[in-house]
Amino acid sequence: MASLMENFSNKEIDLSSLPNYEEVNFNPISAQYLKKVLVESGIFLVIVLIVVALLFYYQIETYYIYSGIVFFVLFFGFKLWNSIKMQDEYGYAIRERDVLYRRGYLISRTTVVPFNRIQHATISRGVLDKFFGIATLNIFTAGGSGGDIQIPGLEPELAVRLKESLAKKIAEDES
Amino acid sequence: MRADFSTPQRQSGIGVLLIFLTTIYKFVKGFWVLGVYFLLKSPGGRILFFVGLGISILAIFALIYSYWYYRKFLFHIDYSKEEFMLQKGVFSTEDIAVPFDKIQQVYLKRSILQRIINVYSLVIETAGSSDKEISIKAISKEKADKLSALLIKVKKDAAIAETETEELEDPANKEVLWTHKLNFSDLLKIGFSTNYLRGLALIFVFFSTIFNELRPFVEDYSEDLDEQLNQIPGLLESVGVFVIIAIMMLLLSMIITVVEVFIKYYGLKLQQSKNSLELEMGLKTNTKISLQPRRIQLLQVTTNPVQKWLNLYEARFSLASSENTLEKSKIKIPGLGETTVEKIKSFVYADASVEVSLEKTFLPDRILLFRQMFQSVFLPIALSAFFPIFTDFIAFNTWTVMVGIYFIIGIIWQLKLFSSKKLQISDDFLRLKSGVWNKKEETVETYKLQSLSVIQPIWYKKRNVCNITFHTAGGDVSFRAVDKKIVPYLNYILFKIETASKGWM
Repeated sequence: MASLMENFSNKEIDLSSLPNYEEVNFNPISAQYLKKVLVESGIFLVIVLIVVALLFYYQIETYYIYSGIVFFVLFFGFKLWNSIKMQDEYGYAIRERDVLYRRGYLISRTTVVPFNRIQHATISRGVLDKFFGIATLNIFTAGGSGGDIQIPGLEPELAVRLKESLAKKIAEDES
Repeated sequence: MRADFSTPQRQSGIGVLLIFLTTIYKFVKGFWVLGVYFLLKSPGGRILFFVGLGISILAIFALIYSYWYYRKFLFHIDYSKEEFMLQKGVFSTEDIAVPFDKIQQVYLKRSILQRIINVYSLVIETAGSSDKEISIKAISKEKADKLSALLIKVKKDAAIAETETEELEDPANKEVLWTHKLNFSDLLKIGFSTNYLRGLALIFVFFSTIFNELRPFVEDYSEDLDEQLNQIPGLLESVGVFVIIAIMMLLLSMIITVVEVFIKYYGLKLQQSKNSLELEMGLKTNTKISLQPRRIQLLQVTTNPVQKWLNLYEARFSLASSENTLEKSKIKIPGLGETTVEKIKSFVYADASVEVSLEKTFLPDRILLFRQMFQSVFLPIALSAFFPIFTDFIAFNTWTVMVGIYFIIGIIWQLKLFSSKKLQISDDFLRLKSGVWNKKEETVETYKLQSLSVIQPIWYKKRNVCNITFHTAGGDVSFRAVDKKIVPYLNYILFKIETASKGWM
């Protein structure tokens, strides 16, 4: 049996010696992203204002409209406050063997995707993204959509660099 | 332009036409109602002129858009990075890169439109859901064949290490080790012991539809009905009627459940040979599946006290969506004995190390109990108070009695549910247990996890607890409100995934 035991070890695992995902330094995303979110909210606000103006123009005034407006103001205020609060909470980090992505203020969510589970990565840019000079890096796994990562608000060159370095890491991992 | 697709290239020129026609088709699909409206209205010449003008301008824009879409749609194979690259989008752009070894399948298909203009769709599937597949919609037969052959070749080269280790078909591997069959009485037992809630729901839907159909009729006679009801003398008798109705409902739902079980699982046969587990079942549609351990992502075993007494366990497998799209992704096998379940487990998890050096059980924090109580006891009671206060649908006294009963049962149920929740982390496995009546045990091999998410609502921060979702290719598994002491174990799980030498599928 000695030959069998040569390459075999079963040491007790020291959990505290493992790298801790909570101790990584997260990189922030571009401040341009907040601008984009605010513009999006602005467009939304304009559309709602037009609808309200039309309602008043045609004199469809009931107290439903007023309660609707109050509800909307509260909702919009919350959305604005939440977007601003969330901006500082976006963060990503790349370790030797995995990607980490954190987001959310009221509900903070950190997802860790090991390189050897990444299926593929894409970069997407919407019209507003192009205007503000940012891009989104999407990382897909075979798990459900909850297990995937979409990192918004990256400078386009950075996004490309990240994607390329991910591809390299995935390849290294497999060889 | 080289034949090995190493430089970025476009689709077939005729593709512009395809994109244009698809865009127009989308418009027509969205606005056909308007078209019908105009036809019926038969508007005057002026309006017709403007509509025509609008449509032509739209068509011109669609044509320009199609051209740009065609220009911007670029694909190539990057041999140095070992990736298939695709760039597309006019207003928003998307860069897609698929590593060779992540390609699951490459195939050609064509719609009627594509048949007419003589082009093909080349589809590249990667593991995961269907929205993760990539398709080149207009490519000539010759090019499509070349590209798909190339992709299949590079895919094979990349996966060669894996295929080499796969064992060849050996007659000895076909030898049947054990067989599990369900006979008539087993099916009957399963039918009578599975949960009738579904049956009850079906009955409810059935009767409410009938009631809706008969409503005018019933309303006519409702006065007569009231009189008859008033003639029923005491409370005792009406309770008796209620009990009889309840028993009949229960019997009916039992019968429905039994019939359902027979249709689904008639002739169930589970057979294990050295390398695979073969399953056959079904009366109407005969299902035949071969369960391979490496495809199984999640195993769930359920039972309830009655079934446990009858030695009936149910196993559910979640499989990774594989190349064979006919294969169902979730498979349920009922009526297994305890020993059979053990046999299945030892087959599925044959590679796991026997020695256990790490085993830790986590229980949810008390905050989860409060959350459950609030969600399923206090909130419904508060909402139901609407009926006695604002309507005379129910008397206040009756409401108090019903709420009292609900409150007591609810509290006991939630306490039991809370204490049944467990998360167990060991060397190679994650195990989640929960359930009051139907007890559920989910098992995942740690290295088969795809990713994990740690979720912490702001109101959990003070208590230092968090929710955890483990993402597998067979679905997500979550455990709520666990103390942050779990973090070192999460590090361990990541370590296990990242150092795994075996593929997850």
